[in-house]
Amino acid sequence: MSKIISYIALLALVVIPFLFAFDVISIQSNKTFLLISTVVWFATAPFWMGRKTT
Amino acid sequence: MTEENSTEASSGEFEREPVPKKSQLGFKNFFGMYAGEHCAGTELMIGPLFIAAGVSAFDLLAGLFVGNLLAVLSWTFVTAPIATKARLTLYYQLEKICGRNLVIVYNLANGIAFCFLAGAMVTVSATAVGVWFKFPMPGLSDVYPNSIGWVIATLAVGAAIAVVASYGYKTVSRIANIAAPWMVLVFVAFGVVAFKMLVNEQEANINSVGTLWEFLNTSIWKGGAPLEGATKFTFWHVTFFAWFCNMAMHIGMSDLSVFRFAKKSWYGIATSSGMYIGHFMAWIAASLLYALQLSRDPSATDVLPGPLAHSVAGVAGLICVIVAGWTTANPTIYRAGLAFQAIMPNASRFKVTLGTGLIVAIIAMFPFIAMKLLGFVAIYGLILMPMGAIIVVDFYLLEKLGLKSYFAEWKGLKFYWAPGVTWFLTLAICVTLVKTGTIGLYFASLPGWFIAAVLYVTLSKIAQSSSIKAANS
Repeated sequence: MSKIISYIALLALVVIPFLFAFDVISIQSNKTFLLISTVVWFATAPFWMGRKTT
Repeated sequence: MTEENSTEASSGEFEREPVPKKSQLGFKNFFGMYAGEHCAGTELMIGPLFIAAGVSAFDLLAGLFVGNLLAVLSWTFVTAPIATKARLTLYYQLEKICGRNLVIVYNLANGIAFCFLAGAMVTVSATAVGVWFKFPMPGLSDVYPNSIGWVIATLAVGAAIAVVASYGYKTVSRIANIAAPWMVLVFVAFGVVAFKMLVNEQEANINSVGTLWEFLNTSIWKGGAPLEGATKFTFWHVTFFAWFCNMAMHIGMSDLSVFRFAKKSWYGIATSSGMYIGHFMAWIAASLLYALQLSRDPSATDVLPGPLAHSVAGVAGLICVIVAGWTTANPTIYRAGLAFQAIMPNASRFKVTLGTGLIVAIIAMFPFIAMKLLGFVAIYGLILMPMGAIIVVDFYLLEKLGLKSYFAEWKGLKFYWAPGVTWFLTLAICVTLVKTGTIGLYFASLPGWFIAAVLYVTLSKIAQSSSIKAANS
């Protein structure tokens, strides 16, 4: 589950700047959403990234 | 510009024996490693410094494309083939060629260079702290710290990194791996948002390739005179800088220690991930941040990654600056510590790394290293380059010329003078060429490599003639 949430956070990091570039969101929203995506990534990625599965 | 995984690889196993087949790694390991490590804190300095150097759009984009390609080819056709045939660390291979005492001198040079590089990374992180605490930060031409706040910030960041590097290298290495994909995407965000803000603020109407190109040339990479104190960059400067900024690793052969684990020599092309994500995309993105700052206030020439990142990505941008500086300074301090520890084998790794980190913190107080990073990186590559030429000649050429490879090992020498004199003489010639204006600093390593190769062959003939005659008779 945490892996899926991490990937959604990464996807958001890709999409958010382009939403700003296409005038869908403001610069302030861009900054807020980037921070939320950052927090979500660092809160979820350590649970699965770099851990041995075998 | 650093390599954390390589530190583990080079310090952990097979330090004095070839890497066995069962421990060899696949292509993906190298692709991921180079992608992560070349998207670092220093990229945030280098991108803006290109604009400060008065580069034009064509010169930057074409120069970066060609220069990075040459770097990838250097890893693929110079470093990786020797690494996958010999499968030895750089240090052990050098010891066989030069003797242990010369390797100690090499370690000292390498360790000092790493300290300066890590100092620049700490400087980058400290600029993010400045956004929060609002103390005066150094300008583009500043040599000394310009405020108490700056001194405290660099010492605090540097000391924290030093302590962590001494205690918990593996933890930070794991954080670095976790941060890598996030950091790459934040760099993309820097570029996209800065570009859009530039277009908005200049009220540009971009509706074709032609208008886009005109915008790049008139609003971002304008060419013309460099800023005060900077060297003018042309296509050739950008190309050679991109090619040689990791010269110590490819032509200088540091990455023998990395690619000795590669199953095939063509895995050298995995470095393209680092070159085209870090040294193409990230440099361009960082460049756009600086162009935005100059567009708002042409007199605001300070290159301060913290405020630059904050203006387009807010707190996430500041976190990126701190993490980028921290995660890359950490392995660099650790590697510098390893290099110094080779000189003082009885000192504990903890104390050496902590001491190294504190030296780095003091270096970071002086902004001139970060502000002159383009020149420093060129000097760093130049200093270590002759040893790369010596390894290539020793590996491919000496036996064919009737001379002995790994001569120091064969003769049981602790200091073999031929490579030593080759190294110092090559540097003396290159420095003279640069100082007399015969050749620019950014280009000197190319003729320097051939000078080192010719010198090493010539001096080896002189040094080995009596030994080989005695052995044959």
